[in-house]
Amino acid sequence: MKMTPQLLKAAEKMKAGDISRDGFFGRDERDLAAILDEQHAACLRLGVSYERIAREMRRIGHAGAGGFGAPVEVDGKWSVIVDENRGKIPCPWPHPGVYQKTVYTVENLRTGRSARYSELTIHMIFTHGFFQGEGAPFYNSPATLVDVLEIAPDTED
Amino acid sequence: MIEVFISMGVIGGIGAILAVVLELADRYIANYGECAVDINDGTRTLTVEGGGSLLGSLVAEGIFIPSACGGRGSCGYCKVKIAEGGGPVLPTETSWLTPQEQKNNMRLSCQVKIREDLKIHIPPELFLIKEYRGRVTRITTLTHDIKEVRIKLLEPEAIEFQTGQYMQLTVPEYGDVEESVYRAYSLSSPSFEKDEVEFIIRLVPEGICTTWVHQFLKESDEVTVNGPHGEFFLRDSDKPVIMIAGGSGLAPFKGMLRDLARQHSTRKVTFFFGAVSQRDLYHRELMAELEKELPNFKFVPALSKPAEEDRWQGETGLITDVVGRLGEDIAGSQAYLCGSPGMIDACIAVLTKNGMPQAEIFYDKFS
Ligand SMILES: Cc1cc2nc3c(=O)[nH]c(=O)nc-3n(C[C@H](O)[C@H](O)[C@H](O)COP(=O)(O)OP(=O)(O)OC[C@H]3O[C@@H](n4cnc5c(N)ncnc54)[C@H](O)[C@@H]3O)c2cc1C
Ligand code: FES
Ligand SMILES: [Zn+2]
Repeated sequence: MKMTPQLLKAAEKMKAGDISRDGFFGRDERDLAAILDEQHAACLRLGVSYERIAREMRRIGHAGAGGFGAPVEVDGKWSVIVDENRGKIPCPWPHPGVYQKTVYTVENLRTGRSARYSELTIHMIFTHGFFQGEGAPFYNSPATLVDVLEIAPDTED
Repeated sequence: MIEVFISMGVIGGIGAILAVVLELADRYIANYGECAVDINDGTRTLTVEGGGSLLGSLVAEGIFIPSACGGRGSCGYCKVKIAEGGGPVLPTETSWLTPQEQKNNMRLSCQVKIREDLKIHIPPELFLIKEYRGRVTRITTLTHDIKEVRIKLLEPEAIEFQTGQYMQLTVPEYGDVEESVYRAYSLSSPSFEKDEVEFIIRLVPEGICTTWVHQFLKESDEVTVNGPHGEFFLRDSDKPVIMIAGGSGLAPFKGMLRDLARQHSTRKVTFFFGAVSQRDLYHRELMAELEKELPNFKFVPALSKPAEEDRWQGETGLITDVVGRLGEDIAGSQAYLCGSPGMIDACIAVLTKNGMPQAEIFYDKFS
């Protein structure tokens, strides 16, 4: 993938201190297109589309919302804490859209492994296939999310 | 095939370069001279340097148009009506404007560049919003993640507002944050305190403003706030009041209760405050004092998951369950809600189920 004008604009907004205190790249020094290519390839290897990963993040995260900050057990498999904050944050891509500053912490009760992500993370994965750079706040690799959220490979139909 | 991709890449690259060149040319070469912005049919006329955004120019002149995204075209809050000038609606605006709004010449003021004289219309109450310079007089740690910040106003020295409204705090450049941004915070001080304002600020994970407040802001620092904003205030009525809050949502109620105490009010007020465990509770002494001063006031803290060491004797359960237990007794009351949108939605569902009309339920819709 090439750095299109859209990606150049998004990458500019992703720098630390623009819309996010720590930015979206973490320690990853590659350009946005290269990160996207690598993360799309990782999803293909795992046999799970990024849209499905995002849908599971949303389903399990939202199921914990009724706890108002206290842990909620979801499907007997996960303990979910939802920290819902007032205010909204825009997506770095140049399109309309603001996302509640909600942070989800999902712990897999069987393995003890966990993932922490925000409402914006879910949107970026679902719409742009972007999991952020390693070391960024709310970064989780596709493999971590598939593992913690126990997502089975997509079935061909 | 590869050639097609290469030529697409080249065209994309040229497009990107052209866009940047045009943007730079517009910013540094184009000279639009001075332009006049007529507001509300001559109520105010500004003379501004052409080329800047309408939102930026209005804010620079002390007219604070609502914005949640800092002028990035991604919140849709900065709508103003442009009666003359402003050029065609841009693609970055269309998804925020209904066909009716477009017909009525509504525009996103952050996207409109001032290149000619403009005539615009804004709600008159926006003229009352001012920017204040102040000095931090006290920072109090209320819980593991909540601080209370008190600010003495320096210029202007006094503010008029309705208790319960909110202000916007300017975050200066710090660390990687190279452009100042602002965030909304409810006033926790009552309107009779005109020379000082107070806020209750909860740390948000990796947040720009709350990191600055919790880790960098010190007593005696100078800060800038603008306001007042919002329509959250106690309505004049004899109806019993139910207040419901969680986290930093206690802020506006602190001000309202102090206002009622000063008026020696006998209005019936029950304040339900939801928290996870005892470490999230604060201002209990203040609430106990207010219970003594206000004969018909009751503070009801409720913990959803008290820790064993809390030895909690009070109400237990989600705040919605605790309010739900009141049943239809609440039907003739008014409710005031402040907290996360999820908590507000869940409380509205419980209140309306128990017979409270929507029109008697108040909260900051903006949050
Ligand atoms: C009307 C109103 C009144 C309010 N009153 C109060 C009040 O009285 N007290 C109070 O404490 N708050 C209040 N707020 C909330 C306040 O305005 C701020 O939104 C809040 O304090 C967070 O600001 P921040 O700059 O610290 O966070 P921001 O930096 O704006 O946002 C941080 C959040 O954005 C997301 N995010 C950031 N970076 C990334 C990334 N790389 N990847 C994915 N997600 C990311 C995460 O969810 C993160 O937690 C109010 C809001 C409104 C609208
Ligand atoms: S300020 Fe957010 S869209 Fe204009
Ligand atoms: Zn997006």
